Amino acid sequence: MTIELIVVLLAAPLVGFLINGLLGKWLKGNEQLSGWIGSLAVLVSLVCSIIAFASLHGGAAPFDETLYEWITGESFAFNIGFRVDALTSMMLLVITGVGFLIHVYSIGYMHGDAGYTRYFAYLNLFVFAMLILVLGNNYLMMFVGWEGVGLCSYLLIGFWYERQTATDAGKKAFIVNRIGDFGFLLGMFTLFAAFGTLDFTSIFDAAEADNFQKVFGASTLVIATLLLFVGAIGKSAQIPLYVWLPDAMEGPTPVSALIHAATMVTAGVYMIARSAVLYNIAHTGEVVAWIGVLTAFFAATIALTQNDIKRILAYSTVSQLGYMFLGVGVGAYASGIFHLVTHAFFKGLMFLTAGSVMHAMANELDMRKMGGLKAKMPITHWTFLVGALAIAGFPFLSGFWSKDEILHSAWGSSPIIYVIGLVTAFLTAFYMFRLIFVTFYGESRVEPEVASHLHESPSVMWVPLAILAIPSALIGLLLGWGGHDSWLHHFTKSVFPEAHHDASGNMILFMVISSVVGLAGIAFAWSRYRDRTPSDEPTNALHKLLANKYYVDEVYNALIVQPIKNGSHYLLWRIVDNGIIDGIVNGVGAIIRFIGGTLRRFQTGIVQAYIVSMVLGIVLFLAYYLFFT
Amino acid sequence: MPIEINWQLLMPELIITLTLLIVLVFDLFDSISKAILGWMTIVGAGIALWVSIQMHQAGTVGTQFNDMFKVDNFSLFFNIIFLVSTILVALISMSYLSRDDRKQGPYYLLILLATLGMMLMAAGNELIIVFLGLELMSLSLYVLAGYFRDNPASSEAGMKYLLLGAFASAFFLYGIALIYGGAGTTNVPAIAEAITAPNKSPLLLAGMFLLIVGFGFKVAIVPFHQWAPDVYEGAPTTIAAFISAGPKAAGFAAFLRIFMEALPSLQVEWSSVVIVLAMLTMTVGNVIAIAQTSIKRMLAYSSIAHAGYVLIGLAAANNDGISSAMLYLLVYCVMNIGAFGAVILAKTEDGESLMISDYAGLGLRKPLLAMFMTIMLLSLAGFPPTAGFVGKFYVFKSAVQAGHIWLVIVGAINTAISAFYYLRVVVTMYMREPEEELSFTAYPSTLVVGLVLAAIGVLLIGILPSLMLTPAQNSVF
Repeated sequence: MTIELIVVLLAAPLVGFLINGLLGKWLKGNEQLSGWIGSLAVLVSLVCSIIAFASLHGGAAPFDETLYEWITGESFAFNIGFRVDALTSMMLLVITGVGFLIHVYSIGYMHGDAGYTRYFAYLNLFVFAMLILVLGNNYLMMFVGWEGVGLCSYLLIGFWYERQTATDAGKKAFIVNRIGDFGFLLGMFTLFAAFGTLDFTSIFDAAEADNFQKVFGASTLVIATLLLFVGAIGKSAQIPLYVWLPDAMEGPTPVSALIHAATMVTAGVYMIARSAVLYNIAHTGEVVAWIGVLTAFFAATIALTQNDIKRILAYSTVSQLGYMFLGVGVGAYASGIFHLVTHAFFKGLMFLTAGSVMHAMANELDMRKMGGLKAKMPITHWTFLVGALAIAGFPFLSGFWSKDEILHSAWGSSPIIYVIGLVTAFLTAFYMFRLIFVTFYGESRVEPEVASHLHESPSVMWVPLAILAIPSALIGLLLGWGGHDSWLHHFTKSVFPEAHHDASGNMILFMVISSVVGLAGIAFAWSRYRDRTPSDEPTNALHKLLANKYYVDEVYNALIVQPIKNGSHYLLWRIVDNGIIDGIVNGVGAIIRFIGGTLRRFQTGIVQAYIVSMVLGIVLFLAYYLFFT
Repeated sequence: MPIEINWQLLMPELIITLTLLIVLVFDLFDSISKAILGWMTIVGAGIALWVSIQMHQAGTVGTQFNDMFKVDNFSLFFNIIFLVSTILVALISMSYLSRDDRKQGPYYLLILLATLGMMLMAAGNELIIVFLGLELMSLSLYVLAGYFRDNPASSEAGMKYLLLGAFASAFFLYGIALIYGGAGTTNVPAIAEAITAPNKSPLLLAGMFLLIVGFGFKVAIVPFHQWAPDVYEGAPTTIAAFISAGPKAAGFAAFLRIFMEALPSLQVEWSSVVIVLAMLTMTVGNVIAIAQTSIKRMLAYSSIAHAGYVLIGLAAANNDGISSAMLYLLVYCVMNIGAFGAVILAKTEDGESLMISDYAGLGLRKPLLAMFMTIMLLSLAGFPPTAGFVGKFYVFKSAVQAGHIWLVIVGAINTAISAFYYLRVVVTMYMREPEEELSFTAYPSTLVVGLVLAAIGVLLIGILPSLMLTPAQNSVF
């Protein structure tokens, strides 16, 4: 693996962004070209990623090189450097592989949109930022990518900026993420204060060395890892900062698939897996695991009662991200990343199929107005079914393997966590098949004028679906066969420290239990929804609570947003801002303006006055010299 | 005694001389399009730039004409700054001048003459040579500032610049005379040797102060800065860009060489003065810039403030200080010409957009122009990942090394102040609606090329600082 390969890998989407971003005006007449340029850029990255993966798989040493020093000071240096090891190369394949298919799909999906070139420019920029995030060999570069993907996410959620809901959702995502990013930043500062560097290798080596423990103690690392985790909570939509992700569905559906399911939201999981050494020493994994499993359960319960397809998928994403955090939290880093990979494929697939449904249904998202779509959209139906079976943990499909590994590791850590995880698995199967039965089976409830246009999507859209369906079904088997002795665990062994969970219990038994639970969820959904529409009104108090998403948005609004607003309005604005700060600012402003005004009077435009000032300067020099030296 | 001339050492200067002669001759023929003169200037300066870079990489060192003219990496690095500025200015000038064909010839001729003067200043190993270079440069600039004769503001600018410049030159020459009186020589290394003895005669100190006044005028240091806003505002915008860039760098080139090489033993005396001047220049420049409503005047005060940042490097008076000042000057020239270029690009049917309020709403109406302007202003304000950040970072770092913490604190506060007026323009462009719809003229391609080059330069140095930092570090005398 050479540095050139990585540079090409990284530069391709940037070039795509520049072409679409700067020359968009000239490309406007030919939107297909613009879309293919964007897709081709990611394809180049995909090929580079495959080469990198192949060389690592062939036994090549991981790549870790500092390209150059960006800024150097007396005692510190910020470097631009890349690291490609097993973890990064898996992330690269997911980002560029899923990313490429979604780019191609978008060519059809975004057809005729006024902002076509802008869309591909943003999408390419996103891929670039995401690649920076996973390729950097230090926390600063990770942070640059972290902020970059946040910016692109904001731009793409609010892509249809003429819609008020879209711009509001974009702002919500941005503001909620700021809270997390602030934590990440503080975590970085803590690490820098303790280690004097932000390079992964140096930090991990120093953290493992005994003298660090003596000098700083583990408490520094506890603080640093928890602060970094705050960043992950924001970016990866965990309790309590998950509220932005469901709203983020206002963006175009392929964006939801790429950014808000497959890649960006998993950045937090990647960050923790990358910092595995620190989390192991600090023993903060337990916090991560608990937040993860609670989020998984909590979001799954909300998904039970939603009727908007994309919202169900969004809550499902939050829930599945919780599983990943559960995995990395209990020290099963490889399993967490495993679930990240399988989830990227099947959830990306399901979002794209949802987009296909929307495409056919004139952007309708309410599944109560669907039903019986199977006959009209066979490919969409079958591919969605593959995704749903995979996420439900149907035996031998992808989700089955990765989820099971996580649950198995969780058992070794805490049986309570395991049980919550298992219940969540049941809920997952249930809500996903509720979605399937209501949307694709039963009587058609489609409005007549929409029904007449109902059609399968064009090939540029269904081909990526069909391609994505294959890994969604099989990748778990390929990577995960053999449980903790699987290919994946061997491949990533060099990256992750020895997992400290003891693999107790019979693996087969766990698999059987998970399968039974998953199948039970599917059966339950079948019994309730195979020929029934979800009721419009909540039937009981619990249902109402769930349908209203536990009123979390309302609670946040009442407890945080309104107090801040009121506080800003009365205390900060009226008193602090108008009174104190404006007083100071206006005071300073008045002083500066006074000074400026006074100084300006010297700027008379009269040459003689200027000469006088020069001579005065000389006189002052000489006076200074005569009297003070 | 016949002088042996090493032509190779003089290559960049000779190429520029040749180019200006060619421009002069071609200007005589009425039958050819005068647009070609601009391209000749660019090609000539481009070749000289390429030769300078080659010589810099080879580490060429040598003196000529009885030790009066010294070629080393220091002078070659400054050649790069001057030539880059000249090329960029020529690019942004082509469309600006094209309406009046007769005016093109003398314009490029004077720019090339000024460039030659700057190169002499950077290579001057002898106070007289520095003075000659200074005069060659200044005289050309006086004419250029008043180039639009039928425009009273331009004429006034030229006149003012001439009067005040002549006054400053007189001080400068008097300073040279006093130093000659004190040291018995005007040769730079020889002066240093003469002063090593505990002979700090008052003549030397007075001469040194007068040199500071002379340089202070040329690079617009407070309190010798007052010509700058008037001249920038009145002069053609391209010339304002030119005056604010290369000549300022040339002034600092001679300033650095003379004070570091000829007067190191007076460092105690001059460094405290330089510190005070740096603080004063930054603060006055930035504070008055806040009050401006004209974008050219704002950029004028901003360029005064930037001279203050460069002075920090000189005040540090160590190797890092010199190299960081050189890097800063390069960065400053590119971004400042870029900012003026964006002003030229914002031309409407009614003329140039000179008030800051004219820029309202450009973010949506003229995205490319707004992007250029934003990049340049962010760089001037010193945001990462632009070159301006890198420049400031290393200047401040050198001062910390030298122990001038207070100077750095004042510099940092000033950076915060400056962000206010730079970002105000950005806010105006993206968040204000214009009071009336202005009809902008089409983008001239040469101007866009110039701006693209400047933008690439600003971002490239910001992301890959070592690209220019390492050459600057290799250029310290």
